Amino acid sequence: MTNTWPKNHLTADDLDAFHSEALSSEMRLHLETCEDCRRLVVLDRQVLEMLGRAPSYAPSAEFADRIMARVQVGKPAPVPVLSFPRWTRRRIAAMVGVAAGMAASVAWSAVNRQLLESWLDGSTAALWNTGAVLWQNGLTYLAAQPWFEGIRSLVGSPVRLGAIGALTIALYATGLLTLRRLVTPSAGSVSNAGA
Amino acid sequence: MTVRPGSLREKTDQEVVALAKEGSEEAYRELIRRYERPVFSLVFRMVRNRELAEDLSQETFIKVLNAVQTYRPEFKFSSWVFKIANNAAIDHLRKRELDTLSLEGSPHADTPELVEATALQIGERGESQLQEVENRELGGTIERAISRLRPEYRSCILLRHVEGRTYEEIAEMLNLPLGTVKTYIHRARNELRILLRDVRDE
Ligand SMILES: [Zn+2]
Repeated sequence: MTNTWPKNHLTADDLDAFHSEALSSEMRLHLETCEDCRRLVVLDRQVLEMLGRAPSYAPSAEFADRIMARVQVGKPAPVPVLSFPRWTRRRIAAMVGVAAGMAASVAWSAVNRQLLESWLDGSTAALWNTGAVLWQNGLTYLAAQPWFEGIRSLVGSPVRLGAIGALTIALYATGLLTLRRLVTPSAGSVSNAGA
Repeated sequence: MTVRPGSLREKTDQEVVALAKEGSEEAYRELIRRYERPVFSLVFRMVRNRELAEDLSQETFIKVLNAVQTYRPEFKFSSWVFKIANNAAIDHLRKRELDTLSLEGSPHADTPELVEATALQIGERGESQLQEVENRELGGTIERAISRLRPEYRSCILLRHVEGRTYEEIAEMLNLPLGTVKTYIHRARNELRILLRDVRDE
């Protein structure tokens, strides 16, 4: 075998193809005429055979018992409460931002309750009366937005109102999920997610 | 929850993991039984010290089994176990800075010529005499040749040609691009061919 790997000889992929008996006819022909490549495939095959014959080793007899002594059967792994490995400034800023935005919208709507009710006419009265906290929060959050006046006319129809309400709830849910993700420590190398 | 160990042997990994999630101790033991040898062998060949390999393998199983509730069945259980085992071994090697002084040239050598030219120097690196005595079990020609590979190449070639994993599985396990895995494995084979040839010529 030469110390270089000239072009037109077998490539690494050709070697794999050779071992799985899928070498192209062109390269098979080359192999018949090239001493270097023949030596290469013979040596490579020997390497693979030696690797394939490499024994497997057993740990000591108490191996499984020692593991089981430290495994909690049927219980989720404890999440270390104080382990927040990536408390970066950006992470904290994002958390504070999301939380402050949500809190501000709730506070504003609490202070301006009467104004809000005057905005939302009769068609929304039934929905108010359901008392569903999420729904109310959704509407008040919506009303807190600067663009609310502009689209208020849309709210006249219950269908539109429903759609907008759903959107608002989705926004709140996204905010909550974002907060949850920011607050939860990463599972590190244990998780097989995306493994 | 009690499951007959005999009946577990015919089940797939996913089925055994499902039983483990339900709290079957036998299922946990079955998972250990299935993977203790391959995991221990991989780690032993990586760190070349039996006691240390046993500790690292043990930690691997403890991590995996304590997190079994979070296991997502769309991934192979074996890939998950090998991934954690390999990480443990590589982390250890990095910490000890063993084998990381690479004499065989840049891992970014990307032409076959460069790879082969730089790979010729690997004979300069080897185990200390103490390690040589400690690791008599790993004293065969191929084991010694494997020990001379850089750790990244070593885990790739062991997973591919000793454990029989596919390139794709290895890429997933080691979080490496498929092309990188192929390159590492072919460079490792290239180095092993040279070492084998040199041994025969001696
Ligand atoms: Zn050739």
